[in-house]
Amino acid sequence: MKRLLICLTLLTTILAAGIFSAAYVRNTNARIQDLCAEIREQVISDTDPSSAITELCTCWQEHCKILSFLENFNSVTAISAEMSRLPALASADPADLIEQIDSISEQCRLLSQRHLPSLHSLL
Amino acid sequence: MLIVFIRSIILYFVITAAIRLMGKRQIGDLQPSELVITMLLSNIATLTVEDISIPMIMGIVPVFTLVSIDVIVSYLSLRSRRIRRTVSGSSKLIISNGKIDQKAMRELRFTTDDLMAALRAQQIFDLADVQFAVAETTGTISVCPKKTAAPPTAKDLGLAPADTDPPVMLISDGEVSTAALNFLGLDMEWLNKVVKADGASIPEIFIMTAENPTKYTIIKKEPRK
Repeated sequence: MKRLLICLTLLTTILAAGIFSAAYVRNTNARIQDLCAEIREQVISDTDPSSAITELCTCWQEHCKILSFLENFNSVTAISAEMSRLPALASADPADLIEQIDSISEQCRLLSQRHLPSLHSLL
Repeated sequence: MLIVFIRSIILYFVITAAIRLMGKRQIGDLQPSELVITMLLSNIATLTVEDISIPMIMGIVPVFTLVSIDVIVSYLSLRSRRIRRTVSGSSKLIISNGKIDQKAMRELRFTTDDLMAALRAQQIFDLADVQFAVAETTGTISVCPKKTAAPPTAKDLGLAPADTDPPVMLISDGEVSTAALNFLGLDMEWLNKVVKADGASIPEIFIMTAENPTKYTIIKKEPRK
C-alpha cells in the first residue's frame, strides 16, 4: 500500500510538473512570437528595432536556462546561435534581419510544439 | 516533459499488448508486464547515459512513470481477476488426463519439441507418465506426473517423519550471522564452545550450518597454497 501511494504521488507530481512545463513553454513561445512579429513590423516600418531585439534576446536567455532541463541540448544551442546574430543584423541589413527573425520564430514554434500535447507530438 | 510522460504510458500499454499477442513462449520466466518494464527501462537508461544532449529529466521521467504505472497495474491486477487475466493472461492446460490438448498447443504456438523439452526439464521422459501439464502465464510448463510414475512420498510409504526446519547458515567465510543464531535460539557462548570442540576458531570456519544445538555441520577453510 505504501509503495502504491508513493507511485501515485510520483505520477501526480510528474503529471503536474508536465502540465506546468507545457504551460510555461506555451506562454514563453507566445511571448517570443509576439516579439518576433513586433521586430518584423518595426523593420518594415523602418523603425529602430534594437529595444525589441534586446528584449527578445533577454527573454530567450531566461527561457534557454529552463529549456535546457527539458529539451535536447543541440536544439537549444542552435536557436541560441541564431539569436546571437540578431544585434549585428539590426544595424546591418533589414532584409537579412527579417529572414533571421522568421527563421527564429519558426524554430521556436517547432520547439514549443514538441512540448504541447497534440496528435503530432504524441505519435 | 508532459509529452514524455504520456508517450511512456502509451508505450507501456502498447508493448504489453504486443508481448501478450506474442504469446507465452516468448516471455521466459517473467510476467508480460515485468518483461516490458525490463526492456523499456534498460533502453531508456542506455539512451540517457549515452546521449549527453538529452537532459537527465527526460530519462528520469519515463523511468518513474513506467515503474509507477507497473506498480498501479500490479495493484489493480491483485484486486481484479479480470485485469489480471488481461495483463498477464491465464494458465492453459495442455495435457489433461494424459491426453494432449492439440488445440491449446496450437493456440500457444507450442511445438511438440517445446513440450518434450519442457517435460525433460522436469525429469519426465515419457509422455505417457504425464497426468496434467499446464502452460503458466510466465511461459513455463508445470507438470503433474501420473501416480504410477511419481516417486513415492513418505505418505505413500506409510511413514510419518517429523517436520524439521532446513539448516541455517551460522558462519559464512568466518563471519557469524547473529540473525541465524537468534532464529535458532542459540548464542555466541554455544557457538564458541562448539567451534572450539571441533578444534578451530570462528575465523577458520568456511561454512557452519545448524538445525538445532545438536545437529550441525562445520566445514573448515582450506589452507591457502
